[in-house]
Amino acid sequence: MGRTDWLALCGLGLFHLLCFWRFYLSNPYWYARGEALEQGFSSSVLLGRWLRGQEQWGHDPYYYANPLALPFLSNFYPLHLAQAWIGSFLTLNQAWVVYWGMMVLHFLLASVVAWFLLASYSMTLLMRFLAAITLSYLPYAMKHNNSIVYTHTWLVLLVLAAAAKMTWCYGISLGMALLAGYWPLAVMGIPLSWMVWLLGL
Amino acid sequence: MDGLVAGTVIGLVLGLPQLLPALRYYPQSIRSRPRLKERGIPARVLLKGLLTPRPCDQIHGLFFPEVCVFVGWLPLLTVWFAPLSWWHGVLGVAVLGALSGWAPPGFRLSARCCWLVSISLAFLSLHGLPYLPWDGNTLLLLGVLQLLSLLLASWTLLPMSPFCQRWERPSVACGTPLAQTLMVSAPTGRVSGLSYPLRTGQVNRIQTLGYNGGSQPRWMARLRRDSNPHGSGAHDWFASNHDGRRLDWYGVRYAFSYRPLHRLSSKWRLTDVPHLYENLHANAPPSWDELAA
Repeated sequence: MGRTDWLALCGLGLFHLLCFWRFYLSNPYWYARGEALEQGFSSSVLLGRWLRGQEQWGHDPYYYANPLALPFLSNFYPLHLAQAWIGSFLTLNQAWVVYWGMMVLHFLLASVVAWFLLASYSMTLLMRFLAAITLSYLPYAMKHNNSIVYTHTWLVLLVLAAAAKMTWCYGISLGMALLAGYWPLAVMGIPLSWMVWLLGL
Repeated sequence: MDGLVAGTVIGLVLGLPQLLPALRYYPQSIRSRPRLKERGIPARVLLKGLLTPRPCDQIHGLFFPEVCVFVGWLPLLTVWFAPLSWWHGVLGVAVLGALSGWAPPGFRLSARCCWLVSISLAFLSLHGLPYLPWDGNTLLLLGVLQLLSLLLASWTLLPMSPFCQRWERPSVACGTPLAQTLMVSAPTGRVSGLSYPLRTGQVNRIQTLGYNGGSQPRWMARLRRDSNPHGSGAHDWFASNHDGRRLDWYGVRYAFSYRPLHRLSSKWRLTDVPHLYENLHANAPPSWDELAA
């Protein structure tokens, strides 16, 4: 990594901080409301209990009759599993911080990986920086629903990996997009990535 | 081409743990029923949405983040400089899909096409960037404007004010007197009518009437007489159903309702918690499997 990359990473970090400054600097519970608190977080709490063996894996007597069959719960998505497992050791409030933190960090993850994947294109550094941020922080993906954020992140990386014709990166992104679980976006993003692979960006 | 096939296979294999149960379950869900024709998004909303992340408050029951096609202000400029490519075709198809009410087979909302509109606009703008006729300083200024527009968009869209609740610490939101009472009493039965943020009951280990969204199982919709093809979303039984023995059989031991249930039937007893009623005739709650059978 060169000096330019480090500078870009600092810029991406700064943008991320500005985007979610309330969460990082002011009030970590600012977004604890609506669908995020009521559905995403509560499912994540139950997932944590499954992972700790406190309740039977995949058994939800409370709300979802078939929780493992519902992709939008992201119950098989590794990063979601990791945050749920960590959160299960913490208090409810701390678990929220881990849950929401994992979600918003996906925007940063997408922008950082996009920065490197865009390196092979002939564009100025400023353009590359703007492209990485515009694709990663697409306003459509700014939602309370963790599944949408996860899926969007991996679909952006899927398309960029297709453009770079990186087989393993493409496969992992596709797998993660499917596990992340917001399939209404995936059914559009996957054919799009095929077209990018075949026709070029 | 070999790389694409290999990458797709790797992705599908990684995704199998979710793909298999979801595809097996899909025919049993109400999502597999023929769906109603959706109304498209009006052209004026899409056009306004290019300039602002909040082109309307809501449309056809969808709030503004669902119909967001905003990608910042710079792409609105650069997209005109993009040379003709297949991305223009994708954008055209996405716009037509959003306007016409088309949704991918098996899915619910045509508004999801807005994602495709956004992403194709973003890539088209990427193509147009190198052709901008301005020098470094102007470009820098435009770049700052783009970052600013995306920041403003993120602050507008998250949280979805004023159409969402006030923030609360999860321990407070899930630790209300209602929740505490039910945590002690409800293991012996289901609870009807749990409102935000206790609706799923998962945090407090409270059994509810179950999920009633668009991916609910058909049997669950039948039990609740929910004829809405997308799931009614109504958690208060009394909002759409009359009282009856069905609740007793369903094992509903408690109901939270603003209706005076103790005046409807003597089986409902008002508890110490306002609007919480105890069903004196409730059976033991059957499991999901027993209900499905």
